[in-house]
Amino acid sequence: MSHTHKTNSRVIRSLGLLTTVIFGVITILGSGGGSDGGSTAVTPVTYTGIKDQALITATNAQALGEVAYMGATVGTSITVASVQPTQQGETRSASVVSIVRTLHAVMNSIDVSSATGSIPAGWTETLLQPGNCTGAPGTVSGSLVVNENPAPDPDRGTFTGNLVFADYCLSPTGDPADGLTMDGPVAFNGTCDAATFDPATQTCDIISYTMTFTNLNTRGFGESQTISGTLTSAITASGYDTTVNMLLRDDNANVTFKFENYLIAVTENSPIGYDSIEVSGKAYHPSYGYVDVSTLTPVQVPTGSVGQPELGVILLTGAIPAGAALPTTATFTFYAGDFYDLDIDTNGDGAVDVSLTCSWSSGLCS
Amino acid sequence: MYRKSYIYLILAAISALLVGLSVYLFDRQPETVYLISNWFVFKVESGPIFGAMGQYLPTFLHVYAFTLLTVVVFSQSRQQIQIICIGWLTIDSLFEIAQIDFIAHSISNHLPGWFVGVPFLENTADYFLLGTFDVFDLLSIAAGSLAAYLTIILSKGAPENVAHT
Repeated sequence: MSHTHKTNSRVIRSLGLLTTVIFGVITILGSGGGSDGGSTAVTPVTYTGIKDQALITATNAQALGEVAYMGATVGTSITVASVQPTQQGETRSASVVSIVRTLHAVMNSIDVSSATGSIPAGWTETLLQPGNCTGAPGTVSGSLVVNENPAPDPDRGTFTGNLVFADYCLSPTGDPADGLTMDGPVAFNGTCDAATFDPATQTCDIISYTMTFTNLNTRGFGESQTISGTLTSAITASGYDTTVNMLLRDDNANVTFKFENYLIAVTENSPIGYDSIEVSGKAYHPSYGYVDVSTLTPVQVPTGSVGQPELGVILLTGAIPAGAALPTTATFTFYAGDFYDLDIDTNGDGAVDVSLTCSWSSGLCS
Repeated sequence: MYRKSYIYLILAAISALLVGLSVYLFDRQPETVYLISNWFVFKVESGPIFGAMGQYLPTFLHVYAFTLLTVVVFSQSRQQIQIICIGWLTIDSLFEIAQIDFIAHSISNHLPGWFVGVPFLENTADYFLLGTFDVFDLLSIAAGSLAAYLTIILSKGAPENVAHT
């Protein structure tokens, strides 16, 4: 073998080695990480329940309402769902509305200006901030890239990033018992108002954002829930409108609920001290099917609270019974205090057939 | 004379990579995987195919496959095979260890600006920040490295005679 041939062979082999190493490292980076961090596989959230429209009855109306608005957990029967421990020691899960409000608070709390590692071509920020719960705040970490290219770049103002919640607890009172704790990754993207760019503080006003998550664990009030799906939020002049497409699994009962094009419109501090909330969309209960949810009177919840509403009227619309002209309905009327009214049209004649008063604390209706 | 063994090694490596890819396609959360983000959102509706093993297969298979491929393109001796095995063991282990929170944040804060917008490199910060250090990943990397070494030895017969043809 000539000297030239040996040299060529060595060069080719070295290039092959370099290529293989580069490819190997790229596949590591492209994988996004090794294990999911646990010693056991995470069971994906799946909805395998009834997908037809539910026929609302006197026995399932409360359960459907709990899924549709109030949050749900499952005991021996389908009951319950406020967000407060009951007098009997029964625990209640956080509602979809509470989860959305908490995640929105997290997005609002991301303090880009305090992050380090800024890059002149855009903002690439790494984030690490604690929750606000006393004793067990946890952390949310991640990264964020904001496109700050000058106009006419159509992507100017867009941002993308990831968050990882690690026992991250957010509570309106600072007491973990009043808040939600989250674990898992969330990817997000959105748009900033480019006119509000402030290079000095590296801040901008968010116009809209989408959060995507799979198997994000939320815990509160003694219940564990796992959620998968997307939240798409548009910031309004007075609050935000969030469209939810999400599966929510009650981990204790291993029952999964589904929310489809479920719009939660929040007007903040209206009236002062309260968030005014309107909901609409489809909510699925695995045992009964889905109901169309609408808001007759905006629901009022104390600002920052993940607790029960103090005012408002929610309407659930179910399937049309055989031979009837109108759909079955259930109307939930909320008041301050422990009770709410539940009026049900079970036969689709437009009149209330069953009228109940239900207790948040006991979960019982009479 | 060793071309046949190289073919075996290449096939083994490709098979390992395909299995590893399957883990990401079917068992992982799509938004955490840069390469397949949003391709397979149907994964939410499916169950884990690889079960608990899927947690650690990718790290095992990565070091296994790339050790074999590197041996095919470069090695001439038993010593080089050993160096390649240790090399990939070191690379994969370092990437795993760098997912420890304080190391990950330190790395992310010192990444050069030109990584932004460059395919794969733009995911560097996310890789470290979103990845979770797991000692069992380190064990699977070590096992993958050992498995690769044994595969090479078995496929080539006497390793001290290995030479490119």
